[in-house]
Amino acid sequence: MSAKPRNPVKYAATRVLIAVGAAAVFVVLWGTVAITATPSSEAKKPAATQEASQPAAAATVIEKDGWRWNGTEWVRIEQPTAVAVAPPQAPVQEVRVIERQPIYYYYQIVKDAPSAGTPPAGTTPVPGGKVVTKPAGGGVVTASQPAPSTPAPGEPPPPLPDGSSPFPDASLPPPPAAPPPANPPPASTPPPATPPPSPPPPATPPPPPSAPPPPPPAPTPAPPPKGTKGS
Amino acid sequence: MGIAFAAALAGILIGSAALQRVAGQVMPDMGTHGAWYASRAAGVAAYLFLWLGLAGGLLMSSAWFDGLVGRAKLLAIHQAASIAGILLGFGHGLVLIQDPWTHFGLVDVLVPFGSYYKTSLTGIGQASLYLGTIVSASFWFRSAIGIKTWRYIHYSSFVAFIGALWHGIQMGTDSHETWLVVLYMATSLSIVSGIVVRLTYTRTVKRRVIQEVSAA
Repeated sequence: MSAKPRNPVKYAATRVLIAVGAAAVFVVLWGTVAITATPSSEAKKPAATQEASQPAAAATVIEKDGWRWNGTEWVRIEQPTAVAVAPPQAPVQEVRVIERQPIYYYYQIVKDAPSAGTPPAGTTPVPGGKVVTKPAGGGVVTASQPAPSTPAPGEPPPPLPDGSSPFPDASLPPPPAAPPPANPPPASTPPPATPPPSPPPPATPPPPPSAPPPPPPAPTPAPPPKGTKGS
Repeated sequence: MGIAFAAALAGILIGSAALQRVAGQVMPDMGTHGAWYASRAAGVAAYLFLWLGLAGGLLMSSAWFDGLVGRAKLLAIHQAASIAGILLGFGHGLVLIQDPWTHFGLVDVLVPFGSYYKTSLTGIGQASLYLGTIVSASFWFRSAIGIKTWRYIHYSSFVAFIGALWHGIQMGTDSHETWLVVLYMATSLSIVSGIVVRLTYTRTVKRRVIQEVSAA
């Protein structure tokens, strides 16, 4: 009569049950996440990973609201109407650059003494004590002028709307890989490809600005306002 | 032990790639995002089973559940759930290597605070995972390290749990989902309740026994 061998693992069935349960929970969660995944939830994917994944999106085309990212800057595109009315042909889209986006900077210069001597270089005194600054891209911007509601050529390109992302929908995954292009610039930053020009050096050191430069307005593509020059 | 653990990690790495291919055929809509979804699911599952292991340990160390579940069975649940949570946690990170979108490498996943993305928050999650691994592995070295050291190591499991919770809340893609918020709140409250029970109920029993003995 031999002694019954002692089981080295107690409650093996319980342990196996927990292991199976862990696998089941994982699979169920995986399926749930995959089924309920929406583009908005994909937009929550880490920003850095979106940046890393934008090459694939850029490899196809990035277009938003009539603007196209050409790899270095946002350019406004003009879509021929003939393309829209001729679907039998291959969807060819002609891209014509009709406007580029230089960078403008607003400088608020406080004039402290009305009897100041020579105005700083690049500025022109106007009635009312205002100082007009000539931006680097040309045109004239008044220091006290409120920010226009439509984007000037110097303003950032239109951002992607909230909730949308260059990250694709799960049902239409683009092929990954390809070198990363510059990201579509957000509303508060200029395009990364164009280095910001240094401000015009004043002849006399201007007083410190009393307030930070106004934030750029919400960009919506529109013709440049008066007083500015598109290149 | 170490060889088994390394084999398990290698199995996760290889298995995740195979599983992704299978899942891609079963659910073609996943496309190339299968690994990303798997990582999210594994993260939540890892948190869930780490919580189960911690709660099991808390209940095992107190006398509250003695009448319902035996301590030996609670020990089995405690150990199995902790190991399952750790393996799921490693899977949560390692499966991201398969993801063509995130570009996480082995260093980003395995080296604490070595990730290129949100280094601090990712590092907290990694440190919590390693801490949980040390706590779980300490069971097999209890006689070597001594009961006192083993107990102090076990106390650090609360730190690991808090770190995992913080990592999940701050970085989780699904953290805003109602069901996950409820899950986070329920698990956190249960751990707090378990600590309260652990600190109060057993003492009450001891005091009651002392009172009964002194009364006799």
